[in-house]
Amino acid sequence: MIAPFTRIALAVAAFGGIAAFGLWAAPAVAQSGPLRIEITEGVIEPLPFAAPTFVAENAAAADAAQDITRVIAADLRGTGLFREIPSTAHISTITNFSSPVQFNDWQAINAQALITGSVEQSANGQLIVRFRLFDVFSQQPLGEGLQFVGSPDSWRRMAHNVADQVYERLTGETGYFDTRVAFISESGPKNARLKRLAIMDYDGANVQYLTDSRALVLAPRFSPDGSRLLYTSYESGEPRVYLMDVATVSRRPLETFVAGNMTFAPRWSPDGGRVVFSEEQGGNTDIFMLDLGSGLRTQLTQAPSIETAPSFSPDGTQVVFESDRSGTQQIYVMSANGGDARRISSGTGRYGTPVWSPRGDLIAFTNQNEGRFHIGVMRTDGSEERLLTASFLDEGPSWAPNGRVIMFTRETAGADGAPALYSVDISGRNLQRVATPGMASDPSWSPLQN
Amino acid sequence: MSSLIRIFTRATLVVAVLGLAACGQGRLGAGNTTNLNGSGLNGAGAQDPSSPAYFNQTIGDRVLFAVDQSTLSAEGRTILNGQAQWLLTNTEYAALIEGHADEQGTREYNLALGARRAAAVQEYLISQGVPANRLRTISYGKERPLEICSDETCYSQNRRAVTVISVGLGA
Amino acid sequence: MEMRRSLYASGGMHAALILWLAIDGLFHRADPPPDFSVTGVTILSVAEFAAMSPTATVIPAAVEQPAELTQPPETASLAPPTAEAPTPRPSRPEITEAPVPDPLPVPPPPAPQAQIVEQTATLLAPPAGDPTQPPSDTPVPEDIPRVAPVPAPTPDPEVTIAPEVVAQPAPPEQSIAAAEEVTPTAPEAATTEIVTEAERPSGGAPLTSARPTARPNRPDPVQTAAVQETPAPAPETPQAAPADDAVAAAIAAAVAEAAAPAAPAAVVSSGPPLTNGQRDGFRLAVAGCWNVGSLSTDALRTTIVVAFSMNRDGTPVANSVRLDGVLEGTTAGAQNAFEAARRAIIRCGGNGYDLPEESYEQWREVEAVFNPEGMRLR
Repeated sequence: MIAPFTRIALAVAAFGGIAAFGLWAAPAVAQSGPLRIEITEGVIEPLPFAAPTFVAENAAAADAAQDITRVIAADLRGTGLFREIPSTAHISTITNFSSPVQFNDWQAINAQALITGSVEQSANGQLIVRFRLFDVFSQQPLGEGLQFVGSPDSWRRMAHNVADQVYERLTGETGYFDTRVAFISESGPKNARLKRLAIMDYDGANVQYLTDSRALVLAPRFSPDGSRLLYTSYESGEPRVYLMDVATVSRRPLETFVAGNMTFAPRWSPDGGRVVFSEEQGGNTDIFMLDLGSGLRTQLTQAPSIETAPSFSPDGTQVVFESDRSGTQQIYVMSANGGDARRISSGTGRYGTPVWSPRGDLIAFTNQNEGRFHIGVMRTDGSEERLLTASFLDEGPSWAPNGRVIMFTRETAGADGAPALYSVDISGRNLQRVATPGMASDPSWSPLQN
Repeated sequence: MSSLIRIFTRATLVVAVLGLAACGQGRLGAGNTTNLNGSGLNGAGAQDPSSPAYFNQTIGDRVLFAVDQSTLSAEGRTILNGQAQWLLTNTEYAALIEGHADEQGTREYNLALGARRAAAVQEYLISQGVPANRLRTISYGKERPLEICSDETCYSQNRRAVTVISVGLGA
Repeated sequence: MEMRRSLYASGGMHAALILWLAIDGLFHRADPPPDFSVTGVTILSVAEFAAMSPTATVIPAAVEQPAELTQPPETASLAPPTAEAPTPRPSRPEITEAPVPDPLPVPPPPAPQAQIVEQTATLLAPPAGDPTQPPSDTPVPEDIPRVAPVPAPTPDPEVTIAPEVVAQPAPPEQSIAAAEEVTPTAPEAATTEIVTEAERPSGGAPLTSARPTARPNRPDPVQTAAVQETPAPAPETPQAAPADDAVAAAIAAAVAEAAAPAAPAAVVSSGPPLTNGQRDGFRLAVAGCWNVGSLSTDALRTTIVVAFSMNRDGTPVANSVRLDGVLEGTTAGAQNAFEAARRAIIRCGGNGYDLPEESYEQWREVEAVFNPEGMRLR
């Protein structure tokens, strides 16, 4: 039996509910002027694009046209930011580079970006590559059409240049496809590894070996102009830093030897004029700087702990490095002149191999915690630390020149454990393996080639 | 005739006892490897107290370390005492001390750690009287593991400093 | 006895409420059903599709260097088919299955790096006002081979007009979502967090807090067909917002229609004011196409205002979409952000946004603020 009071309360509640609905559905205040809305949430997904095979302007360019289109599409897909609509889904084809584009056909397959192009072999044997980029739904070109001319051998570089242009126009970031990677190519069993210095296009093509495997070599580092490499080699019997000219594959020790002192972990200053590295004396390792022009040597740290893995900031004023002065390996930042260092790593576990992003905003590192390794990034003051990967053994990050992608070494566990190169976006997405001939480690990403 | 036999027997016994006494020296440390390199055939090498085989197998050519550490354990010091004695006795040998680390670390840090371990051994040997100019060090970081499985049984064997002797510059 | 009476009263009031809601909804349907194609979820054959699409007036470009591009006069994305005969589409080339390519093999060490000479000859001219082109209104099928070069500007004599290159099928890519043409538009089970490999629960506690996820490969919103999902006429609700919002928006829309006459009607000459539900629906519809995944970090720090006009049928006027202000961020970032916003407005507006026609004056001009702060990479 429901009391009268309860009944009234129920009725009021019911009516109140209706009123509330009504209020919610009530019209907004009558407005004048344009309708204003604020969009604060969107989607994150790969942007669909179509890259119909470039038109071969003459028969001699037919193969190149196919290959170039393939490389461009692979570059864009490989970023994880774009999704290719395969040619099997295309409704119309591009048969004439100069003809107007049937935007409706591309809209129908939801290609939001369209890349058209043509390849031609000129009379003097040069290859001419042209392309245009369109925003399909706005039915407008994005930027101007461009033309590249080069020898037929350089078709890959031209394809990468086209892809870099497309990437830059669509994302606003600088591209990174016309780049190379230096790395250590490994072979043999785990307790008797043979290591060689190698170099390749960032996508794994054009592998070239720069040393034989007689001496153990480690951790190459590209110079800021991409013409030289620093690396560590045992060819003299002890670990020492060597300097190699990539084009001529000629090398020399960085400094005259001081017997019994090990030098390793070298990196370049942003202007290519100085080298910062680790030197060990009597069991203690500190960070030193060498001015290549004057030969002047400076000691930047002086501590009984291990100081190693130094890396310059892109403005050349600071150096980030790894030290176990606190008892475990952590990351510190100091002036490029040495002096006081402040610790920036604050999470759990051990931190090492810090590398300053070429954009200057982030520092990549290796973190070791509870038996797992991670590649991560943090702001230059140590805040906003994010771990991007996790595995048995990840280490040694290297930045793409646009500061958006990181390449690193991942090694599997066990007697058959083998290292390989992987890359990941700084958002943590698009983790993928980099193609190498066999086992590989210690990648170093070159700058964009001239 | 019987006295000759008696003398011969006694001499044999004496020689045998002396031989056994020599064997008794150089207690193998807990962490030492038992890699005996076919010493059964070449027993004379390991028995010969002045041979490298003796140094490697009987005295022990390596000491082990804890994770990220370069301090010597008690067993380590015992082995190094034996090494020091041997080097002081056999002055024509020099030693290269290799420092190693296990794979649970980054490449540069492990190079530095291996160097620290080799230096710790070197300092200890010097403190036991071995002249410094007969000792050299090198670090291999994690590049030359001995055992290749990925757990502590192998890692512990890889965290080592190995004293490699060679005929070289004497005192 | 008293109990029974109260029961009757309560039941009656409830019944009256339900009845009122139901009937009222019937009599006061304010908006017309939105315009959408009734082809439904079927795969269109090439011929059918060709019949639907407009034919462009193509002005063949003369072969001269640099080549110029002329735009067809057609600009709207989905105009009704013209009266002219549809142009025959080129037939699809024979597609043969090709295996996914292996990682690139190691080529022999190459000669020293070949140099490339970069020339940036601009090839693209604005579409209008091309004096060398004789204007032609006769539609020309696009697959007619190029006319022989006009002798006046001498092109490279070595360049021969190659026969039409039939595009070779590229190897099918690995995990591209299937049918690109037409897909059902069920709101996808999109997760709301990016979980990096480091955070994937693999036995250890997460090391950092989780962040918004990228959605898995999702079927694309369809331009030509939409499946009616909710009983109320709702636009293709975007997948970005959590499913709750979409349902709530639909409910709000339904209740809005029902409650409209009950609510005090504001006296506005431009028709009944837009309800919150309708504004929300519009906002969410645009947001659903606003893809920030490929924007630079710079653009993700830029908040822009985009202004545009709408047609009466709810489609945006593509030419009118313009950058109206930068509230925060850099100029370069604003350009990229604007392009993404423009794509969003035009893409999801292809079928017309769900806005009541009698309120057209209120939404004829729109100012949309795109603020990516919540989507930023942390």
